Amino acid sequence: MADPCLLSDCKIWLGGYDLTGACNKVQLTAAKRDNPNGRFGDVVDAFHPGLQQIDASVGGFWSAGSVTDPDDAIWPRIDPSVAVSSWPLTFCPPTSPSTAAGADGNLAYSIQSAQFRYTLGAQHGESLPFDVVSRVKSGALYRQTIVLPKGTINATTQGTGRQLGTLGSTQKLVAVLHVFAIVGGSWVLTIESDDNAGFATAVVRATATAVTTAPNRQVLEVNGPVALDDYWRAVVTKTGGTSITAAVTLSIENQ
Amino acid sequence: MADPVVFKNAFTAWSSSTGSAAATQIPGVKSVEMPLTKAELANSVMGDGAETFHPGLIGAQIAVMTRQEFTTGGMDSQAWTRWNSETKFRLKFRAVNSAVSSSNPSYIFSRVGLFSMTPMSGQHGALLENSLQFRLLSGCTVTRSTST
Repeated sequence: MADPCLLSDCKIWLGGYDLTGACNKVQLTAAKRDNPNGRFGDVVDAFHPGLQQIDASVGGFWSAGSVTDPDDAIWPRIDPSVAVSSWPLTFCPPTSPSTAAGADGNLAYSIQSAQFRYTLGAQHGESLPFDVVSRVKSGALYRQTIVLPKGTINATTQGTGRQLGTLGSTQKLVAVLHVFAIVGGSWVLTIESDDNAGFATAVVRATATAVTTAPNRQVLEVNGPVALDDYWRAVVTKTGGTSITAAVTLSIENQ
Repeated sequence: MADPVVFKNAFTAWSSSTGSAAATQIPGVKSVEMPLTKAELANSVMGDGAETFHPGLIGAQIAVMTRQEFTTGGMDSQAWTRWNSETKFRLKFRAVNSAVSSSNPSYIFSRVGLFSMTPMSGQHGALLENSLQFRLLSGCTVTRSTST
C-alpha cells in the first residue's frame, strides 16, 4: 500500500493566474447525481448515476494589487459588469507520482469553470482569508497529465511526449493551456501525436490561437478517432518576443 | 456474551464488474460506514395508539474513507475508473480480514456504483483522504453470507 499524499503543496491555476501562493486549502468533489431507478422486482432503493456534480473550492489569504494576488484574479469572475466566460481551473497535487506538485508527467484535475461565490471576512485581528467556489461551466471534470510544467521558455519548445493511448471514435483529446506571463512576441500551442516515443513522424492534431498577451488561457478539444498514435506532446512555437510562462495539461476523455 | 470486535483489520473489497466474484481489497481504507435501512412507510390506521410504520425498500448509502494517493494503478486511479466509466461492480465487507464464518459473515452488495469521490480535499499540511460514496443500482441484492 502506497503512502498517503501529504498536502504540502498543490498548484492551483485559474485561467492565466497562479493562485498557489495565496491558497492553503482545496476541495474537489466529484459526484454523480442520484437518479432514482427502482423497478418492480428490486428489493433495494436503487439509483442510476446521472450527470456529474463537481464541487471545486479553494481558500487562502486575501491580497490584491498584482497578477499574483487572488483578488485581482477572482473579482472579475464575480463582477456582474463583466461578461461571463469559461476559465480552466486546474489542480495539481503532489506525489502524483513525482513528489513536486506540478511536475512534468504528474497528475492534474481540470474543469472549464465559472466562479459562483467569493467570500471575504474575518474577526478583528485575524489574517483576512478568502474562499471561492467554482462549478463546471462547460464540459466535465478531466483527469489530466501535465505535458508542459509551468515554466518560462525563451524559444520554440517541445514538451515531453507521454504515452496516453490512442483516441477512440467516442473519445476526445482535451488540452488546457494556462498562460501566466508573456514578454513580447506571438506564441502558438500545438498538440502532436505519433506512434513512437521519438516523434519521428509527428502529426499536429490541435492548434491553439496565437497568444500575445497574458494572463490568458485556452482549452482545445479534438474528437477522435486517432487510431495508431498513442504518444502525445505539447509544442509551443515562438514568433518574435522574449519569453512566455505557461503550463499545458492533456487528457483523453469521453465525448 | 462474546467480546466486541475491534475494527482494526476489516475486509473491504470491490470487484471489477458485477460478473466477477473475485473481490480485491480497496486500498488504504480508514473507515467504513454501512447503514442498512428500510424505508419507513407510514402505516397508521384507526385504532393505532402510536405512529406505526411498515418496512419498505432497503437503503444502503455506503461510505468508505481511504488514504488518497496517486501512484499508477493506486487508489485515485482505481476510484476514477469506477466513477468516470460508471462501472457496475460488487462490494463485499467483513468485520475481520480473515476467513468468512458464522462469526465473521460477509455482507455482499451485488450491483453498485461509485457515485462520489474526493480527489483533493484538505488543508495545507493535511494527509489527503478520498471519501467514496456508493449507491445501490437496479437489480442489486443485499446478502449476508457465512460461507462466501
